[in-house]
Amino acid sequence: MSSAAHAFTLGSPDGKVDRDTLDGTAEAVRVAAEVGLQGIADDLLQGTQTVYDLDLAVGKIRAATEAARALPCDFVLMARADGIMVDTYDINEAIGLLKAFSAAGQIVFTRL
Amino acid sequence: MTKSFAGLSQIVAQTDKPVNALVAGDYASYDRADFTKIGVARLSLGSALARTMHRVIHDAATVMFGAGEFSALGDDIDGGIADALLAKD
Repeated sequence: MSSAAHAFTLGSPDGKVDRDTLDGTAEAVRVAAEVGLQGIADDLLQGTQTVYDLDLAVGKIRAATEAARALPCDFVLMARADGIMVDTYDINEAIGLLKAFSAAGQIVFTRL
Repeated sequence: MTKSFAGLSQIVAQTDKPVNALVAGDYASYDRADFTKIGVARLSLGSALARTMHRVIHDAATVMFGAGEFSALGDDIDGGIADALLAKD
């Protein structure tokens, strides 16, 4: 499952099914678990090319963490560093970002 | 360091959580054993498989609506195989 694949089934371009707020991120976790998904990944991109600022990105992961920990089931949460893919930052900056995500409590996830 | 497989290895070494690598783009040239060797804990596909399907749709449609040829439809999957996949838990 991917958001691009999901958007395609709705006749929408990739990046049009984003959850850009903290509440929206937490809701995505709850809804995903409700329909039986065992985890989600957040690419932390607004649209397909723009990375969130650091505070919002870490805040989204923290909100997702809290929502996941409140679930009655195991749930895998992945925080992605897609800024590497869209050439917003390099590996060293990505590692710093992933450490910030890790401090927020999560599995780290990267795409190069 | 720019994006590279060596960069991914560096991420695995310098972070303390399991790392999931998204197999897309240049990463598709590596196999599962390569990822295992550098310590990646999980692989996922993101939109890569969906985009591969979209490629099939795009290319077949281009030929059908352009040249009016339908040979791209001759290599389809048997409906029974697809239905059997859907029936799996």
